Amino acid sequence: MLSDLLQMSVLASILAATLRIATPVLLAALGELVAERSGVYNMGVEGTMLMGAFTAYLAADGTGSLTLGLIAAMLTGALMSLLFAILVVTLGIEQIVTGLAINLLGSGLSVFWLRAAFASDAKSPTIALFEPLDIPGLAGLPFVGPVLFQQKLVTYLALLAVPAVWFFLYRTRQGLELRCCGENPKALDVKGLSVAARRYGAVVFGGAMAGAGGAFLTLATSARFVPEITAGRGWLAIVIVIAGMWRPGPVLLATLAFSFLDALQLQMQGIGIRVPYQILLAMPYAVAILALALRRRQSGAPEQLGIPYIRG
Amino acid sequence: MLARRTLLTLTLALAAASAAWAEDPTKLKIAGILSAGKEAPWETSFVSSMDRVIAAKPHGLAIEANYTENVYDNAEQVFRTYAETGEYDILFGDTAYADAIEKLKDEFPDILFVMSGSGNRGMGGNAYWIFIHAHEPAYVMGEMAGKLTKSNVVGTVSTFPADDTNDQINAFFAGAKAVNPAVKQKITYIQSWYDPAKSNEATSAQIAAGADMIYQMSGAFEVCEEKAIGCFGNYVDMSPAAPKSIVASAIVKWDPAIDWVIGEWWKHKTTGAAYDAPKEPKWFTWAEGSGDIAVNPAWAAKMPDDVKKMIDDSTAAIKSGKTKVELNLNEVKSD
Repeated sequence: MLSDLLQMSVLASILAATLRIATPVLLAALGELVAERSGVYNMGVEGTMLMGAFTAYLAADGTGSLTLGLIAAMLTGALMSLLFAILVVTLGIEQIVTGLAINLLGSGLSVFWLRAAFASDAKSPTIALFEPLDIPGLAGLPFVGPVLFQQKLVTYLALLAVPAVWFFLYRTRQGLELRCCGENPKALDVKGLSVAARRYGAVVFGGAMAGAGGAFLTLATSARFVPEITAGRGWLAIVIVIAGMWRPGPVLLATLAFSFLDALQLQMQGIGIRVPYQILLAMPYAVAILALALRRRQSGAPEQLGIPYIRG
Repeated sequence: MLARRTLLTLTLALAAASAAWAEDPTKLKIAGILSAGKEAPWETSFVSSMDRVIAAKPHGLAIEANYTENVYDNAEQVFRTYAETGEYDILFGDTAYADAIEKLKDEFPDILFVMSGSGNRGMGGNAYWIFIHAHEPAYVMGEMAGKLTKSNVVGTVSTFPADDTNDQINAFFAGAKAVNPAVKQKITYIQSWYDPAKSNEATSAQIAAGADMIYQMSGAFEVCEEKAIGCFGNYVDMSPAAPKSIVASAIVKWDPAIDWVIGEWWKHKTTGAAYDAPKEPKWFTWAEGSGDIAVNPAWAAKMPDDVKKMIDDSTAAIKSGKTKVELNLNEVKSD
């Protein structure tokens, strides 16, 4: 049994699946990471992803273009988050509650719009999916090829977004200012730099990333939209930001670790290894709680996370 | 003697008169309370069955059906809202709504409540419990998989281990092993009722484990199409969604169950007899019209003649009662 699991082809299948499972969560988690580093808790990731998944599907179905679908999803995510930012940054409404409201909005609006767009017939159309994009010269490599270099476009983008976000946060002036928004917004304010503008930017970026994560579900894996297609991935993204201690590298590691556990349990079931796979499914949440409990002090959470900035 | 006869005549006349006053109902309003969205195959099969029943006008009734989707989490409130309008005669739930129904059934004794499938319990009275078993067509599909597999590994990707999925999975594997004892079975539960992305990953994992014939019970066929293996669908004909890979689908028809429920309501309305639902779930066989098998014409065209004959013979034998497909609800394990 165990030897079946250790075959090269099976291992490659598990690792390739890990990257596919990781893609939507990683995109959303990187977006949430940036938002939270600016000091804003966006609990509306799930609903934002859901709307992204839906509008990606709608636009791809209407225009026949997957790229337009992806752009539509990112715009939708940005819009949802803009609404969120107006409520929490400008009006200073409680962030957790507002985030939950955004989830309800995404959940209700996507289903309502689905019914409005494809009224009476229960079967909404399927769309073409992103094809795997073989990286020339690398896709043919044994083992590494099928795992890393035969993925879909969005997966490559998600992986490239990790160093990009890291570079922005730690190697640019704007990144430094954004982190300062989360740690000590007053310092920015006294220098005449707008805290609100930076928080808006971070939250809207986070929404666009969540939208892209949602788009992966409809444009690269499922070919249609079904209600609640995100199935908790937005929540997992929030958990991963915590487990990844608000830093891009560890966030990538956490995403890969959790996705690997998921891919592993699916493969173990398929092979017939009798382990209680439910334990593997529960692991991410357990690990995140542990990370929070053990490293409460130096967890890396921005000092002003979740606290509206009011001058005075 | 005479007095007695007069009394009898009088009674009869009275009875006839009262029957004439209480005219037979001509209208019936049903609320369909769906666990998920209408595009989930389970719900699609329910809604299209309801459409057929409405068109058939049982008892000459003009039936109107309205639906509420994605109810599972707040069933009690949805049932209550429908009940309180006073307009609905039958509240038809297509999944496990026993908790909600138990709280409402006595408060609304004139309304007929329906719950479906596993996770329910029999309460009698006006709480009717139906069960959809598609194990008979699933058995025939298993026979096809057993004949068509080249790797001798046959898989199933399902939602949760539950009575109303295990019946089909067990029958599917039983069919495969009946025609090909070398078959090894693989089962993956995705632990979600509807998550196409995860469901596709489970299919990939089974292919990596060697499966080339997969019963995809969670409605995601993108990997089947991509890898060009043979997949089987359930609840509705899945071949339009996956024309290359779908070999056949086990179709579920709620028609006999809906007809039976309407019949019970009719009995209550016309005779005034109290509702008396059986405590055991009521289910119907393939012979009674509870299902069917839809073979994808593209696959049928390239199937060997002996497989085609086997499908026809097996179908006929099950429908005539000559072959009994065991109803096995035990949780399935991979070989």
